Amino acid sequence: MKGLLNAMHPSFEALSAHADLHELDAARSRVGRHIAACAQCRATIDEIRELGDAARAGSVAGAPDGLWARIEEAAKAPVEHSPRETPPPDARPWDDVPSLRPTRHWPIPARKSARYGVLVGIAAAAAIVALLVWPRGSSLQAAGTSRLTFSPGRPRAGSVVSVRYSPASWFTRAPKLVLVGRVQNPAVQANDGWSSNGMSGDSLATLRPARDGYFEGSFRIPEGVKLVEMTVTDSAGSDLDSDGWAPWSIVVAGPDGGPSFDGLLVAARSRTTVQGLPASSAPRQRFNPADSLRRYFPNHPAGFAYQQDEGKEKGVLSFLNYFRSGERKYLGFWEKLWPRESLDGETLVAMVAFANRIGEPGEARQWTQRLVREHPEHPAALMELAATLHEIELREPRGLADSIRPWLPTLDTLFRLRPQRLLGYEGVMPLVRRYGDSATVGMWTHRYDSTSRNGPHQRWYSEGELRVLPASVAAAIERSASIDCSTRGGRFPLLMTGSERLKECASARGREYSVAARWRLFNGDPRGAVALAESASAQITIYNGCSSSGPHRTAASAWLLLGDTTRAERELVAMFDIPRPEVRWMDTLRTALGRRFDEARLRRMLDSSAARLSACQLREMAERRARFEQWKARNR
Amino acid sequence: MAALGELYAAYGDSCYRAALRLTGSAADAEDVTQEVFVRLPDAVRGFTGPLEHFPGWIRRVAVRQALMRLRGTRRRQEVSVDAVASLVATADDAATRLTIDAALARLPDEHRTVFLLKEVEGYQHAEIGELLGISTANSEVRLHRARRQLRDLLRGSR
Repeated sequence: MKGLLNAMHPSFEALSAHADLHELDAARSRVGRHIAACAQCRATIDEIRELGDAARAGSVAGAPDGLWARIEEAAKAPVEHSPRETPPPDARPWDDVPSLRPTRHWPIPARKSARYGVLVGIAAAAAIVALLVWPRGSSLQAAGTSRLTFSPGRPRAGSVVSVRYSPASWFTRAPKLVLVGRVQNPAVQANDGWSSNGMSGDSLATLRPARDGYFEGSFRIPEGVKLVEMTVTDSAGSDLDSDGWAPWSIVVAGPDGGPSFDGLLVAARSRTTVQGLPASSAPRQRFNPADSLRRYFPNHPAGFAYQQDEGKEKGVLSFLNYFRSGERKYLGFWEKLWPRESLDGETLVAMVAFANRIGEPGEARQWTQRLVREHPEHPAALMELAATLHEIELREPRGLADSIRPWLPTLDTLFRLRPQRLLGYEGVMPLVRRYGDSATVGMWTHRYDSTSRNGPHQRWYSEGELRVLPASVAAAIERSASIDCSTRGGRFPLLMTGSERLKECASARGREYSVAARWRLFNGDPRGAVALAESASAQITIYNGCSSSGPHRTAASAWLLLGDTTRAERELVAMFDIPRPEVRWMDTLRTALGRRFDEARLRRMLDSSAARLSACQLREMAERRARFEQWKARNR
Repeated sequence: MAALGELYAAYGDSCYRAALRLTGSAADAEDVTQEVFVRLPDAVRGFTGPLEHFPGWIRRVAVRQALMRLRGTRRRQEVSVDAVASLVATADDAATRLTIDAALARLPDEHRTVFLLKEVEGYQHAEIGELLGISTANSEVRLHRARRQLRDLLRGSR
């Protein structure tokens, strides 16, 4: 569902590209038409342009005084001059600088030639031949070193599956391994709004080494399950292997022995990948559920609606071709399906998604209205309607409130028929807040607080309503923060090692402690705020080894309230997001410290603290990047 | 030497600033500026355009020199203490700029360079691609990523 909403708003990349267009081109583009009606996207464009404005406006220091003397000396004896770090000897910056062109209209040398064209043709032909003759493995065979196979080839729910794992290089000497899996049951998943956020799995089987170097084990697929997603981890959870950036998948057999439609549908809608990367670009990944849907169920629109690969990576022509063929296909389905008196819910949902995917919100709106009318109990109905109403908001002229408000009771009915866990601030809630009366807003807010995945404090993260956070919610946040990471959940992470999961958990606890500390500060308990802020700092340090400004700022405020300027000063210099707080805090400290205020000393301390923390953060970022690169390299 | 002195007086700051932005290091920027002006007497013979194009030309030379230095020196992945200190020292009168400079300093080299070349130096993506030896599409992608990272960093610091 989230994908559908994202499909409505242009991506950040599209907005960024749009920000660089000339006004006329910008207004004519698809994105231009969208932002003409969407304040949120206009704000993002403004934000992007402000980044450039701010960078240009910056007054970088000019050349230092002694530089000319140094140049003069070097110019007198150019042969002897040797800069500290010499550039490559063959590089001459002025060699290819044309002299007569203004910077913004520089001509680009033509690179294409007839020979280039011939080479491209030969390469394309070779690629096609390679594609045709390339050996294809089963859906679970990875192209890398490791491989997971199972028998029977197409198991049924309730049956026992034997697994053989050809280990990745980092697992070859393990005494045993654990097959971690997430089982997907559409009947249960429906209540989740087909969520793809469930990143936890359970131990399905212990894999023990066999004589031929493989690891073997078996498990029973629970009744009712249509899809099993699996990764392999060592028993300590310190390392894992997967099918590229996504788990391996088993789609159980349908009545005719082929893959079940429900299983493929769940797989197509909820691809889980490491770090949220698109499954379509996952290296080594062979299983593409949308492809399988098109192959096994060519008469259903789902395979086209949930196709992830739009051909962008193959070039503009491929991308355009995707839309052209998609529109033709959509028209074919429309002619066949629309005249029918009734359709099943999945077909209607797929047509909504298909229409949105090819950029036809008007069509999506018609299918949505039919979905709400014919299948109000479908888990997707509520979110699809919210998405359609948002489209109405974007496109209709003034007075649109009159077209939206009558739909609010329908939203209410849909929720009652099928309570959702993922109301999502980007979906139903903004509509309710904009067009509902206070009672309606209150009712939906209560629903949101009581159903959101992250508990009652999710709303604070969405809106920053700390000052009006009820005491009961603040207490719940504090309780949540106090739960030790090792005792949380108790399940295996699906696409994360155990240590990564612990760090993520520490980060979450740090945020919770930080919120709780600020709440205490605002509600007249500075001592409590200090204690909680220290806990927040400790957790954040576990997460990335660096400190964070928020808890220190809270603690500094609290110490000032308590009249302890020495401790306030210590917390102040521990902050790193200088200068904004620094300017304010300098004034505050000047007042608080009176004659003892020593600005020069404070600035020295701040300089040192800022440099230390920036270096720490950069180091942490570099480590993260290295971990990700390692993951990528492993899965090539 | 007097003529070179006049050119330095007119364009030295501009070259130094371009180099400082790209390299992020005062020492590197000084070296770049020195290279540009020491070789200028020879290089200027290749300049045959009207005088009003000279500022753009020399700045472009400085940019190329700075990029070569970036490539050649494999800059350290850390914030220069000097840079942070000088930023903090001017905090009172330029809070906004300071924030974006600090955020820029945290970007990976390849993203920061493309952002500065596009937004500050005014190059087109095709030109940036040529300068950095990357494709136009890659330059666009790097710009988008730089903007996203900057936005996230600046939002995070509020």
